[in-house]
Amino acid sequence: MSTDQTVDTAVDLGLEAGIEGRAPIHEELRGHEWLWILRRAASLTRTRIGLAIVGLMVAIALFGPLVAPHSPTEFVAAPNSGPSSAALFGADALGRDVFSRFLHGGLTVLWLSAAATAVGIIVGTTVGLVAAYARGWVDDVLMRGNDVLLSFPQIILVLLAVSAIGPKLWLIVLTVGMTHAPRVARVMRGAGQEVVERDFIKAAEVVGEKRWRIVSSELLPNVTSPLLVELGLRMTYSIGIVAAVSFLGMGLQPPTADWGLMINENRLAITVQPWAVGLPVLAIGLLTVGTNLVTDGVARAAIGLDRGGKS
Amino acid sequence: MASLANSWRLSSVERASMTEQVLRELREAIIEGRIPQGEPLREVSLAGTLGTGRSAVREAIRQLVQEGLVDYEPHRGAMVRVMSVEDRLDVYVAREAIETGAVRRILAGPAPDLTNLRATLDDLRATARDHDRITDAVIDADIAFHEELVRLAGSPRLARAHETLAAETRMLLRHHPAYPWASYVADHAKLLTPSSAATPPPRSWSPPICGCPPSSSPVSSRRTERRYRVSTRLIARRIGLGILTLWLVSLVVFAAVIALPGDAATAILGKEATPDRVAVLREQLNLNDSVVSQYTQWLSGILTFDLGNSAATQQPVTELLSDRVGNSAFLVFVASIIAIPLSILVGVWTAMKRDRPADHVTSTVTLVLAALPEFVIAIGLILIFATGLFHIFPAVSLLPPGEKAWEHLDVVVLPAATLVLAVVPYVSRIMRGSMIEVLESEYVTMARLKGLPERHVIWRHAVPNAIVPAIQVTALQLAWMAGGVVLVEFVFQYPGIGAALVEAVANRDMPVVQSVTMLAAAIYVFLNLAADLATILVTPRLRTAGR
Repeated sequence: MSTDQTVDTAVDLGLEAGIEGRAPIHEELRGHEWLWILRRAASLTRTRIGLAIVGLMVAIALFGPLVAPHSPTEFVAAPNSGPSSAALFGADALGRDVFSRFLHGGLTVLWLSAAATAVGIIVGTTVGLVAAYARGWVDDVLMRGNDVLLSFPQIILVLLAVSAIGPKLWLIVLTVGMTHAPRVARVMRGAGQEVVERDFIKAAEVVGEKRWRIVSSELLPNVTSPLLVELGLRMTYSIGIVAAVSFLGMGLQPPTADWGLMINENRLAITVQPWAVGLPVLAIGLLTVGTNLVTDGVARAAIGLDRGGKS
Repeated sequence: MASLANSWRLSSVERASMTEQVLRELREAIIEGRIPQGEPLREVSLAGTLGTGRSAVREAIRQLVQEGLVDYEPHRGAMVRVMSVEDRLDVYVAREAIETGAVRRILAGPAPDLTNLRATLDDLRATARDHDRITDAVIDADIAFHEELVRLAGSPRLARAHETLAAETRMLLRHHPAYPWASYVADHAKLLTPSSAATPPPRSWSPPICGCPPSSSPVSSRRTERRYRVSTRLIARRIGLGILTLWLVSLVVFAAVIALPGDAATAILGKEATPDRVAVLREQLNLNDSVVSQYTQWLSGILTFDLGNSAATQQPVTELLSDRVGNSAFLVFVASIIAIPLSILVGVWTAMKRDRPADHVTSTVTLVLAALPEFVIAIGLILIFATGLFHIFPAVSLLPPGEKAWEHLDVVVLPAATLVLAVVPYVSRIMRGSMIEVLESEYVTMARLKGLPERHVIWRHAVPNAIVPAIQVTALQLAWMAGGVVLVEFVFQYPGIGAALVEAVANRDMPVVQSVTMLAAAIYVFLNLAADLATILVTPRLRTAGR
């Protein structure tokens, strides 16, 4: 409890901390505010807990396949049988080892959601900053496009694409990314609009810098704090959506071992063999909670920075 | 006697003008802060400094007491008034009452002659253009504008009451210019809009009194009168944008059929389909026509609720979906009527317990719940309440054919609980933040200073104002439910449109997919529009002028 309170008071004291920590930014960390934010975020307890959880899940996903007792497709015990010496957490609906499939099933979720997040962040940041910098009709057109994509609940847009083209992994990465993009763009446009007003942008224009250079090397380095928060947030949601698509049976196809797919395959037997559903559900839940804790820590650190900046 | 009277009258004229000069001198010195607040004003020394008689000084001080710039206490003499926060707020309370009353009178009467008012506004604009902050010239123009506004009401007593506040207003503007400079002139210009439209303003309407904090008038009066003529154009524009978005959405949804690889009919039916069936489907989907004509036929079908036939079952889509739309709507409705009040309560409660253990625990719980995907929550609930620990509710929400969800409430409990748990964290967090901000504002402080009971302060003054930012988030969350039900219904096999969509996607039943997608997007656009309109209507935005 007391540690948790320290975290919260730290945020409320962000003002002072921000001023104290502000000075070195101008000297050694200029243009590297994100480093400062991450450093500060890493000192918060909740970020550390989040990092520990994410680290554990990533380790399971990466090294799980190496230590798994069985192959993910091997028949080891009677279908839906409970925990036994042959299968630590029992067998799934097709008699495969639940624990081995759990150890094998994390990698797909991780890389698909990381790729989708990357697509969303790159497209969204580009659109948002270009809209903020260009203003006028470019801004209008981009934001209208944004509104259209925002009108679809994320999962529904992904399902629409899958129903048209089929359950392809590249399509899932692309569409999940594209559903993130307008949400990222909206935030980045807002952050960019504030920066565009500042003098150094005008100075760069006067000097005659190219427009894409102004966006990429003047605007971008000054919106890193919302960008970091968006990155964490989108990763959290990506994991949820990517797992959900597999869970609906529209993502990875059998016999792949994948946490989302495992839930789909075993949900009808949830009464007799709860482990086959519970283990992947727990894994996905922990992963999203972990990324969200990290994101929250980063957001708190970024607020501290902003407060320091304003005063 | 006569000579005495003469000399008395003569001196009276002289003294009046002298008083006037002393008054002006002292007033300026006080307003400009040359005489600090709390400083005693002594007749003798002032008379000496100004080189006038004591009586002129006394007269001037009496006038300053009238204007509220000076306090007079028997035996202690006069001193420059110290303006406390309450005093400052009180000036605005009085001005709001007078100016609102004046405007209401103006609008109730025949069309007013606005030339003078326009002239003072132009004056203000011209003065403001040459300055980048509030200066004496701007203050003069500002006060002239407001005086002209009150004068238009044609009530000398209102005008006189208003005039007595001028000096204090001047002082406030000079020393506490909390008003955002950017909207200074524009907000004054807005005052002309309702006057020229000549419609009675809603009861909550209040003039933009410079530097005025949001009024603390209870929202109940706002609810009774929702007309807000000023923003008709804004509303029309917003509705237009909504329709445009919806049209663009329809293009995206339609494009999904075009995106089917190769021949759409074969893609849907699979390679083994007989040529006859492919031909029938081609006919159904109008695939033999041009793309443009396909789109117009499809769009006109949607607008007339003729959604075509399901490619999988050949049933009309409307027939297929009608019961399921009802079931889903019921589920979302149950979830909303629980989630919205619950989030407000949680938000208000945690704001009041700010930084205490209860707040920390709630904040951690909401952080965890916000992170969990809805199907994880749903399966968690099943493991706890249906199959694992307890066996209270059914794990699947299957309904006998033809029966509605509201006839079997037990099947609704867990799906609705999932949606509630998914929505509450977001709305309650926004509500908490907004509530904390409101609780720290001057008008809540003022409501407390007025001695209102805390319960009244919270629920009548703070909460209604704190809710406004939560409206948008609530709408977004309700719209999110249109997508959220897909997974929740699939988990529980609840017979709604979400489960129908998953089935249709698996079967590549494009008419059903398109209809459900279109419906979800339309719900989003509609809710977003409704939230924007609600925000416009409950925020007399002239009051958002800032602190």
